[in-house]
Amino acid sequence: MTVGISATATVSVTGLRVGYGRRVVLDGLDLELTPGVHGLLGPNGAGKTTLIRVLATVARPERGRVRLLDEDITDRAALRRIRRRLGYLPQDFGFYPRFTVREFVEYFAWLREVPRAEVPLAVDRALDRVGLLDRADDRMRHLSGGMLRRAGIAQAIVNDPRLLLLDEPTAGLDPEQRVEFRALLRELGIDACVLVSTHLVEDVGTACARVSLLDGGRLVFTGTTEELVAAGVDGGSGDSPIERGYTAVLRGARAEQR
Amino acid sequence: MNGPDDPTVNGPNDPMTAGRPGRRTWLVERRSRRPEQRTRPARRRPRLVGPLRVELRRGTAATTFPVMVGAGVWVLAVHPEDWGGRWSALASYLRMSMLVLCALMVAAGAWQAGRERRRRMDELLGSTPRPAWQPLVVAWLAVSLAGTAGLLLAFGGAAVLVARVATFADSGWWWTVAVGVLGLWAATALGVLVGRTVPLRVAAPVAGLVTYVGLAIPGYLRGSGWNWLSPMHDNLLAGRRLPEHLHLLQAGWFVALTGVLLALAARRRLAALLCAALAVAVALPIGTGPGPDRLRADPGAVEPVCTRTGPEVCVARINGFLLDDVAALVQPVLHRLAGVPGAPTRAADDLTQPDGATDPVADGTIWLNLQNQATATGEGVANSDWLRAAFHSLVFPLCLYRRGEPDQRVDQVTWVAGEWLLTEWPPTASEGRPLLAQQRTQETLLERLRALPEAEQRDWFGRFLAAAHRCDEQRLIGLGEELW
Amino acid sequence: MVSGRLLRLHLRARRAPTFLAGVGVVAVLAWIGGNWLASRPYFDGPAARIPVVTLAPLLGATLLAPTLGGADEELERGTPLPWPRWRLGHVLLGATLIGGTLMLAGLRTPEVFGAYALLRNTLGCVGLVAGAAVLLGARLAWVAAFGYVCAVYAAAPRQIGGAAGVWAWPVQPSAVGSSWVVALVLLVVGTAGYRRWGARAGVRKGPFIYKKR
Repeated sequence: MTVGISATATVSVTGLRVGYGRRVVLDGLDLELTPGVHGLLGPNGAGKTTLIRVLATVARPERGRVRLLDEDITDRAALRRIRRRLGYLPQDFGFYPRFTVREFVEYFAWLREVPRAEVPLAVDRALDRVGLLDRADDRMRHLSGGMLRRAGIAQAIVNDPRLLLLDEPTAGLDPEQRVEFRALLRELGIDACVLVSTHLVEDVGTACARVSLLDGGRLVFTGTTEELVAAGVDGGSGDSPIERGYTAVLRGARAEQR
Repeated sequence: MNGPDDPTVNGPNDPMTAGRPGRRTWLVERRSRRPEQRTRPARRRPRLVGPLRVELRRGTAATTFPVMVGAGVWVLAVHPEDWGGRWSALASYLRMSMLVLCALMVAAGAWQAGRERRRRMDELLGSTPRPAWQPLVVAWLAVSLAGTAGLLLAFGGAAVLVARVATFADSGWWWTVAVGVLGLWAATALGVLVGRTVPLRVAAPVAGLVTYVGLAIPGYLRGSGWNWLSPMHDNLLAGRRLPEHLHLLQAGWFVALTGVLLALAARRRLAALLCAALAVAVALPIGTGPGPDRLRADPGAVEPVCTRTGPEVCVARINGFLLDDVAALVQPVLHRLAGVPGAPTRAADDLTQPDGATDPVADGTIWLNLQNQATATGEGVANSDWLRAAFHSLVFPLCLYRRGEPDQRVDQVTWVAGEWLLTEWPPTASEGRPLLAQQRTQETLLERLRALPEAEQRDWFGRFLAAAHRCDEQRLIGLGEELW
Repeated sequence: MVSGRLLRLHLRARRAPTFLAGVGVVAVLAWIGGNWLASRPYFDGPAARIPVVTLAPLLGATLLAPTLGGADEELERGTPLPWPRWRLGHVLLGATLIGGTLMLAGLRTPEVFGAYALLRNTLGCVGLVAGAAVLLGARLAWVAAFGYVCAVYAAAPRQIGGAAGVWAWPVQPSAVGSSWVVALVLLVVGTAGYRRWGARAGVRKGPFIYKKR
């Protein structure tokens, strides 16, 4: 699947290849993302985390071109500008247990180079959006798993990112929190490009406008949620239309490869 | 996009607006209970820069401060006689305690810098735009500031004690302190480098112990100029000082070294190279210079201050606060010596002795070492036993003992002479213990001597001193038999 | 009974290879340092080895500290192994290894700040580390021994025996009986505490999501 490069795309990746040692994780991947919420689906080991790490400028691509926010990541000065407009929540994110939630987010506001005068407001705003404002002065180590994840999201959105990368953000959230989280996602997707990797297909169905599906390091599907649902109309197994679409596309891609 | 739980999307929200109906929040009910949280404007904060404030409160700095206060108080408490009453002695004791304090700062720096690894923050930090050296420097600065504050608090307490009694305001003592603080900062930078590069869990304590050992080594390599590159000195004594340009060079050395270590930790090779060049340029004139000869007597500090009444007792101005206490001990002894031919007539602090002279008794003066005599409060004498020993050595026929073990009776008569001389000395802890047979003989001899008329006692002592100086063993034994 | 392979896996999980290599390095350095100090003309021979005798056992015990806890204490305790026995064996084996290796470094005139004092200090330091692991967790277990021994060494008490024999046991000559008593009491109390309670489990909410379930 080839995607043309347009000037308005927030993310545009062509011919991306990434490997750890001799194991190739992503190969010949092309991807283009515009503002809005994008779901990233795929089985375990498909390369979702690796793709997000490349887009977060943490992992270095072996080959291929990666343009984020209309700038090339190989240019050092541009990289710094990109990172100022980038939010990232890793799957396995660390934190400083002695910091309070506010201090943690404040510290990341500083690391993300939010102008000093705007930091207090930005921190309050981020904490408010994830609903942690009334726990702002609690130590991180006293938070429950779900609250920690929300603190993680708060640090990712504190700089008002144009590109927000969330790796498994709903893990550890209870059903009610997930519902609220999806609402936040939609809100963030209005003017930013949000890429969410997840295993929970229903998150994608309700929160994402577009879906990309990775399998074995290749992009096997990209389109709207409706298109994925449509792919599962005749075939595919699962309990919901989108799950059926998911399995049908995967099966199709694997059959094609053989 | 139109799921069943579609919220009322409000676009970019203003968080300062109180709970809007329809807006989804995680903790709606709790928030409405605490409206003050919602309307609170951006809090007025102390003007201390954000991340530094956070690191000071939550980083290793928060632990470093009390640890450094505790360590500082401890090292001050174990040897008050080394720093009491004198500014330059306190400053040089600060440099001596660098052995412990620098080791602690290396451990603290390593612990702080190892945090990103322990907490698995590398992934997240890699995606932020701020250059990696900035958080590193902030972390280093926080630990350094906290450690310095702890050090200054502990030594500030000691300074209050010193200020009460100090009799000489040295000129350059604060140089010693300032350079010591820079050394402490370099130690923290070393710790930061270790914490960044060594992934072991025990990196911090091991780095601290290795520093401890490393700083102790120059003490074993006597007299090398390279020793001045260490923040720790064990030979800066009160009443002496280093030339100012050496302080400046040392300051430059520690600043450059800090630069090298931090640049290496932040992986800035060019900056590291530049700082290394600077460090070498500063280190060469220090290392190739003379070793301990750098120390010069401070003329103001060693100027003698003497008693106005009674036999003359002089101390260096820096030890002036000890004059009354020392005179009270020493003058009765000098009274006893008065008129005895060849005996010293005055006692003086050996700091006032011309450079290079080491004779315990010369020019009719008995020289006393007062470097370790101050107490923490400046009242009284810390080790009066040592002064007592100085007078014992006055009567001691050293030349006889150099030849070999003399007759036991020589020991006895020497002891009697010493005790007679120190009759008025306040009793020491060892008195009142059960006596051995030999000691009983000595006691008897001493009582016989004291029973003689005053003039005969002096005469006996004068003859003893003369015989002792001539190393006349038979004559000494004869003096003992005279008393039987 | 536990098979050799499982034992090897357990030792690897507790980072035993790092510990063993570290103890070896410390022993070699102690031997070199001790001989160098003892041969300096301006000191009183073997008695100059006091820094080695104090610091080498402390380093050894510090290296033992991180092996006292697994990657996840609570996970391990959920397993049916007789952990108290394992923990007891762990500390005693560690103390034996450190003590035995370090004693080799002080065989020359062992009675003057040599092998005997090395052994005593190893026992005392290991006891402190084991006790601290109970109170502070394996990660910070080095703190107590590090702080205490450094403080005593820095204080450099001039007194021998008496009160100093008790509080300054690491820097006393090995002939002072009270210093041995203190070191052994520390070992027994520390080991017993560690046998009973094990290393304190750290903050449970590490990078949490996986542990949480």
